[in-house]
Amino acid sequence: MRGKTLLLCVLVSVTLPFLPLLLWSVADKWFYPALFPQAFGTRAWSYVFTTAGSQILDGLFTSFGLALTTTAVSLLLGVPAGRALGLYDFPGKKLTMLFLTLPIIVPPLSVSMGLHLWFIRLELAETFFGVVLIHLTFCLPYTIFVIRGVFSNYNPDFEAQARSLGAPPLTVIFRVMFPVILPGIIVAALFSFLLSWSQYLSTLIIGGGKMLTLPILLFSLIGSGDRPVAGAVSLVFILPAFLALLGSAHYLGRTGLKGIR
Amino acid sequence: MRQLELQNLTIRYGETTIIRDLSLSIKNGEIVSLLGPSGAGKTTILKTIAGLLQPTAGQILINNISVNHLPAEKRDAVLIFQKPLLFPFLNVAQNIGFGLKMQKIGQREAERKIGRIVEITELAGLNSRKIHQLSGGQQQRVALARGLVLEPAILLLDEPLSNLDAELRQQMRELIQTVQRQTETTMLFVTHDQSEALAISDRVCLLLDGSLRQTGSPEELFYSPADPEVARFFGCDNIFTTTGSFRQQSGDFHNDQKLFTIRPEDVEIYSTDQHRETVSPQQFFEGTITGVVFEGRLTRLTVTVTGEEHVTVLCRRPSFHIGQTVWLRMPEDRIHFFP
Repeated sequence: MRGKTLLLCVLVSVTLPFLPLLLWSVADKWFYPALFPQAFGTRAWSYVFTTAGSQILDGLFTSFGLALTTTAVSLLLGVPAGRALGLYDFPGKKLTMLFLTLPIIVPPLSVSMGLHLWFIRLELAETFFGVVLIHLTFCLPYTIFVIRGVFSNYNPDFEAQARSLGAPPLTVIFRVMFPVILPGIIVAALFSFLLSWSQYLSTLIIGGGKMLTLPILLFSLIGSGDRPVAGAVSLVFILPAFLALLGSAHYLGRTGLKGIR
Repeated sequence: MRQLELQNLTIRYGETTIIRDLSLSIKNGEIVSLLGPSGAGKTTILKTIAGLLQPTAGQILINNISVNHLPAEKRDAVLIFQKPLLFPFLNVAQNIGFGLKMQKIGQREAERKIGRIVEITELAGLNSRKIHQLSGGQQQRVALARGLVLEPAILLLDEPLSNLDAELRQQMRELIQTVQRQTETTMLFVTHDQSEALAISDRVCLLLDGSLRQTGSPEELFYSPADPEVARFFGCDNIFTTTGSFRQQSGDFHNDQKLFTIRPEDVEIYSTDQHRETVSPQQFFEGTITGVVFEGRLTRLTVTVTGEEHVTVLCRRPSFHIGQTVWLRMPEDRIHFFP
């Protein structure tokens, strides 16, 4: 009974913030002091799907492309780095950790502004690759910290055992290490994806208006004051992130039951 | 042919030498145990043989071929760690079959081999169990089966029994011996538990301070230790010189100065000297009880002879008290002189 009440509270507190968005997206007229919209309509949704359809679809593609590339690169770099920080001791380890936290501690605005100059010089500004790089400065530290946590609980003897049983190094990585740290990789991937997906400021500065991701479209719509359309686009923006979250939660719950920590 | 030979193996970690100039040869179908206190470098030796560590100097030969340059996965030696280290994402049969899969052995052949090993290690019926559904003893048996199924030239066992409770340990020890007889695998077994080493092996190698002190049959090491430290390792503190108090009490004890030892359980203890007539007097010594420690099956008595030599005596259900005068007899054939 208590468990159910708690679950209900959690559900309500998670879904409640989305309710205004949903209401705005179907509202035609909603003026103060009415609690609910005075008139409902599909104007916002038809705008999203027809008038601005191709623009939003492009934004969706750009956002997906950026988020997936950023996630892939941050895992590719973050797994070895996290392993090194979690398993081994080496001189300068603490300093490395401090450097890695810098982009998180320093306000994103200063990081992006500071790097912008360099990106222009290196001709990385206003390119896909440049935006991936600036997203990485925020995603990579999180990935490394998550993976480091996984490896500080990891017993490398598993790998030695596999070697002794005849597994060559690459097989050990993919057949032994990978399955063991998979839950950590999923969490890290989710972090990276969501962080990159919701980047606005850094995309705007480095992308310079060339990379029209969903958050950039969203901000311009909100700025224009068209609340119903902003509500509808917000929902389109939230949906993939929400699905990614559900998917990983489902997977993690399953592996938890399978007995993998 | 399943042989292992170590020639002048030296292993260093930075500045510290872990193993110094170790030579050892293990013949076909032998169980040899490497005995030594914790931190003596036993695991290091096993890891080096398995190819997980590189020796600083020396040769490792498996079946008379040097394997120094071979990576771990190509060596015909399988190391079984102290912890079972079963892969949690695989079930029992998949864990046992892991090595076979690496060797790219066909499904049918692999199943036949797994079936046989499961039979031998008494794991029948557990094939599709998840690892976390197994007890500690079962996990340890799966770990053993996972190594055995590969039929390596040498099976290296790193204290596989130390995580088990007393009863399970006894069962596993017997199982290892049975399996060894059935599969004729050559085994190098590492342990810090002397009774385990003595019970399980054909030969025992004692490792102290990074070098091999004595190699021989269990009886040899136990009854004829090569030096006082070996004797002390096997719980024998009775190390005396022939010129000490024993000489004073019986003039013709032994003429030249020598170090000797006698097992505490071999010393006979009497509350009167009435037996003196029946045995030669030079084996009889008068002393005072200065310590009584009840250890269960046996009681440890300390007898001080002529105020300076402390003889440890182990006996069953004694009725002595501290301060009592007693007579000790050290039978001639139980005294061992160090070379």
